[in-house]
Amino acid sequence: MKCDREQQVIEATRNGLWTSSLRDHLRHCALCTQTELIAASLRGDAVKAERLLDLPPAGMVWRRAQATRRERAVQRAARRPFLIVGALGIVYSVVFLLWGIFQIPQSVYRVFIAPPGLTEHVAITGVVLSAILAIAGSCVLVLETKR
Amino acid sequence: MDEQTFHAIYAGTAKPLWAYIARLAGRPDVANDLVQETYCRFLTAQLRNMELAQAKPYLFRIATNLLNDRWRKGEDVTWSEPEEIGCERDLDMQIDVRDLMQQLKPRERQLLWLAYVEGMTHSEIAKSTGLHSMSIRILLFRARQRAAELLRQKERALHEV
Repeated sequence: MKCDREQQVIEATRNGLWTSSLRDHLRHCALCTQTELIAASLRGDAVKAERLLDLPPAGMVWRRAQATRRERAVQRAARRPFLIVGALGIVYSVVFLLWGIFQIPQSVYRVFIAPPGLTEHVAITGVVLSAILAIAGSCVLVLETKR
Repeated sequence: MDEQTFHAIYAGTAKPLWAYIARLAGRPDVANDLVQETYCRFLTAQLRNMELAQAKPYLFRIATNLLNDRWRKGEDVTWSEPEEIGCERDLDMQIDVRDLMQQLKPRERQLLWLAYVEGMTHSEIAKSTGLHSMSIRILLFRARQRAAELLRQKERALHEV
């Protein structure tokens, strides 16, 4: 349900300029009468509300916004190196993991298993665990930096 | 945006924006804080120079989002607006609109205020609230029905007295 003259009624309530035809329409249109009742009540209340107004001058708001903008720019600038370090850490970890699993020849494994009692499987497990920890650490660093 | 343009936008929008937030939140102190935060966000968004007509829905959108955030966090659950000192009640209507606003849902308050106090069209309300413009008509219709019913109840109660 909508009356075509509703917007005119709202405007007239706002600026007080009622034409005779609009007044006449108001007498016969239930929807517009309802609109006028609500609009007049709310408008009167808005005028009252503005009496409680205590706003700072525009210049102060402008300066505060400029300070906030500068602060955010500094935060952004400081965040970038951490992001780069985190990303490089992830790349390093992935490369190291792949290298550890597929590229190290058996002879090199033996160097790492110098202590007696350690097997090749233990050495590989150590490589994998350290890589996982490095990846997890890099992820935490990236997430914390983003936050 | 240069400072001169901002001053013009501030002069044209600060009062209605404050009244909107104050009546929706029911607290003038919250309105003072949120108005400043709204302009801060508006300025830090690094927008190009815009006309007052373009800036107004954008500012109301920021304010609406800030209010929604407060409600989502459970703040402003109590309506603690003080009585206006030195202001006499409207003797013609004798209707306390603050009571009415308190009984309405936040979204109903927003829609009614934007439509009837700010005189915004449905598309402007959509821009200011983030709702779809097609749903504004029906939501506004329901809000108006509810507000009218509450106003009629109050009028009847006053006549009986």
